[in-house]
Amino acid sequence: MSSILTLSDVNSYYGKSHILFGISLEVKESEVVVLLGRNGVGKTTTLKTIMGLVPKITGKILFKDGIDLLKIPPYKKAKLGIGYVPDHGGIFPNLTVYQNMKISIKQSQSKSESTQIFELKDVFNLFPQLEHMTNRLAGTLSGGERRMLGIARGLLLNPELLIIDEPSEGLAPNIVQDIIEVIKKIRSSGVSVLVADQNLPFVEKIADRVYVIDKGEIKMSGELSELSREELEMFLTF
Amino acid sequence: MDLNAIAFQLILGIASAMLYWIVSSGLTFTFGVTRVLNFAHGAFYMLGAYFTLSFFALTQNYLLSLFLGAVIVALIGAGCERGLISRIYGLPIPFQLILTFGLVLLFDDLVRIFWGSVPKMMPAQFIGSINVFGRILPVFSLYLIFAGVAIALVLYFLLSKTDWGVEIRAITVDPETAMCSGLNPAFLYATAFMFGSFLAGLGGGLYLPISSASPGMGEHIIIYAFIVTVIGGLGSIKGAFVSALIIGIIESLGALFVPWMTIALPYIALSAVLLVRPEGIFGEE
Repeated sequence: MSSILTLSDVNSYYGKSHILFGISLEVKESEVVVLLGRNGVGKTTTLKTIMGLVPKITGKILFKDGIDLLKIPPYKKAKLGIGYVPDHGGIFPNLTVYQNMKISIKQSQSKSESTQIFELKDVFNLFPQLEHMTNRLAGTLSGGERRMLGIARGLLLNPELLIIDEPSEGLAPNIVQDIIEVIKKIRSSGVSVLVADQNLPFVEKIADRVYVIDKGEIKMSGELSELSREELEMFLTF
Repeated sequence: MDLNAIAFQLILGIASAMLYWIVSSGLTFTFGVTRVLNFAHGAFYMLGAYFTLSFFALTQNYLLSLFLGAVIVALIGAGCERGLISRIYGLPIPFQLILTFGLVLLFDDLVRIFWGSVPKMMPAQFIGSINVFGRILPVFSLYLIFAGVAIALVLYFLLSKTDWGVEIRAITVDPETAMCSGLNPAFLYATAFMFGSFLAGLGGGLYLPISSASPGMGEHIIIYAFIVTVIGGLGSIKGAFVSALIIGIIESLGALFVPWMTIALPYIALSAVLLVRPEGIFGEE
């Protein structure tokens, strides 16, 4: 499998605060990679760094066959093939569900037909609930529905890499189960997924590989079966 | 008190309100999208009046001159946004006020250089009047009301039914998510600023048939536009419409009931709203 995303020795800064220290990770084609760690250890900053939303970044971030993401502004990354679902859902609460999705659809219309894996009907197959609420304001959706709409928006960009921040956070167990099934389907469609999360039972059901992050550094990485459960739990408890 | 007199004053008040609305809609729209408090909005209003005058001298067609004047102001606004304003996005408000006030001084002096310091009147337009409630109402007041309502409808259509409007609303509420969805912030901010400047220019041109153009005329209207914008809630288009109606009507009825304090009424209304609801009627906390 060839690499879709490679971070090499990446450092991030907010003003004078040094947040990420030499992060290196790789996401390969059609795999689900999870960045695992507690709150406040640098998971979201890592994802924002990949999207170019952090003021100062050093190191190398390469997409597919060597595209330097540090030279590309955030708004061009969607067209390049990277979808991003932030931890607060990635929706626009003042727009209807359909208007939210249409913004993504418009962006992917310029892509070639061969890369158009997800159309509206495919997204409604994954999230049947959304089909009946297209005219509702996104701000009136429940937490689970918002999360689904955020992922739907990301998929409608027809990305080759979908980045999802904390998809299981604050959701009821049945909704988390739905999200697990959706992530599995996304992987089977050939899209690579990078997830940041701290819910180990959830991560165990979706991850091909994990990177454990603590205090802005990668501490462990590999397939979950290769890693010590005790050590993993140590990194996830305060 | 004569009910006819009150009804007549109400119509005059609504006409004034529509001028306040047209100018403040551009100001609040620009602020809602870019988060920049644009003092130069008043200067764009002044430029709108002068360009409308100049185009009218060439074409003798008021509506065409009004449109062309507003288009030129929109282009000037876009130039200011790309060249100057875009450099202060995200900086504290004092930077915004210093830069945009600098633009006010610059445009005031440019107007003096190109059009002179003497106030300029447009040849009489819309001088007709009609009898309403036994009183003579300038027909231009009705045109102003029509223009205000038409602009409200156009704004509603643009923001709710066009891709551009939906994208503007998206980037207003969450710029990061909008960028990561492929929306180009530079394009959206520039076009939003351009549109806000267009509305300011339109306001200046609409003011001409009832008054004169003079350097510094923007400073007066910008104070009213800020009062309307703050009462309605910074960034709220709906708030600006309602607030403009409130200010126009209390000013107009004030002239009937308490003429000795008419000038103070908008400021009293502003103070009252700030005391009860500091974020404005439709503003968000």
